Amino acid sequence: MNLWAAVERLVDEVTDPAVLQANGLQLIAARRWRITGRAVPAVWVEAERSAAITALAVPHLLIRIRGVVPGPILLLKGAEIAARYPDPALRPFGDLDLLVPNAETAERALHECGFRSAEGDAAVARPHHQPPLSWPRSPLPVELHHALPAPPWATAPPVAALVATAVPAATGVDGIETLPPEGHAVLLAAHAWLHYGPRLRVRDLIDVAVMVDGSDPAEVADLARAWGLGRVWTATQAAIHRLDRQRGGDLREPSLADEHLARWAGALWAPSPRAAPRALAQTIGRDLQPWPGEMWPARLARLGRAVPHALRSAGAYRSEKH
Amino acid sequence: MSYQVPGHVHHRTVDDEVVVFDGQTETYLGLNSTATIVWLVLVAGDSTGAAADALVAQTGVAPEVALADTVALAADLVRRGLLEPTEG
Repeated sequence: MNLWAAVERLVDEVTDPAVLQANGLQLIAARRWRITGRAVPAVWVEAERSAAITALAVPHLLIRIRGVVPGPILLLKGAEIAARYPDPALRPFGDLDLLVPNAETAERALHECGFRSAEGDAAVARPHHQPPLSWPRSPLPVELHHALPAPPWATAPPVAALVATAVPAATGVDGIETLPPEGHAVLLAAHAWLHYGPRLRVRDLIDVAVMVDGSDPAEVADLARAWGLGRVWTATQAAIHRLDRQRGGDLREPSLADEHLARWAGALWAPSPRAAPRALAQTIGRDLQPWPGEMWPARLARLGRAVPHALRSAGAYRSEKH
Repeated sequence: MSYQVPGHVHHRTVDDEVVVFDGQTETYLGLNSTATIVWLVLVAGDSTGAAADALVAQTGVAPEVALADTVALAADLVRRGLLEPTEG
């Protein structure tokens, strides 16, 4: 399958910008629509500018972080994936995901050199990372991960084991590493599954496909099984192969409720049918519980803000920054 | 006169505009489409005269206006530390 030909065909077939945006394809679509003579929405041109600024910010920010954070630093997801696209400017990302052996020490080091909370005084940690930080003159928040962002029922290896296998990151900044492509591809599938379950966005499929390109399929499948993600990996690979015959009209813009239900349904791809009930309970529990450090009233308030919008577009809801 | 981009300055083209990042001041500058025509010629190592010619060809502005605007823009970019004159 020619991945990029399939993606371009999908982009050409979709007429609703919101659907392309919901599938993370806005930057690819902006370029494609310009080439094919279609009017590019102003919001996409702005997204292209933001992506350019973000891409310019990454090396500078990584050098600053490398200078103050001791020990290994592994760059995950967005910026590292973008480097594998035909043009990094086609892959949007909104933060810098860094996996470090001691996230609290790294967080302290960044605070001491001038990084601040990206979410103000009310910032709280998330299940896999510390509260986001930002450098005053950088557009890109930094998330220091103490664990891989994977479904709660997965058995991803501990950080120390991942660090031991690290390879230089594609950004070219000295001392910044990343996971080997095989592990990174499994992580990307796991992370996408964590958020979207079996209803993966097209961009998630592209990300996994570009990351795994050139790897031994059997080796990646073995790794996925070792992480308890064998069925997730098989389903993700099948979805990638289906891109070739998927029609633009099949793409949808999910509502908040759709996303939650798909995320919960993702637990059914736990390693075995016997493991599924527990995985489902873990997934729903994780979704409903407060984030680490968040109090129940704050969690209930977040839930209360979201419930009335359950049937609205998830993308539109998030863009309003509830 | 010709120019080069200092090592601390990075830039990317977006559609018909350029975004410039100055790593020393950590500031971003967006160039409009006309300034982008001039920028792209200058960062390729060509002269202000060549940039003015490109401006004339792509916008239809009068040659003397194009040259004056190009020289003024180049001076402004040098003043901001985003370009530096090359020897010779």
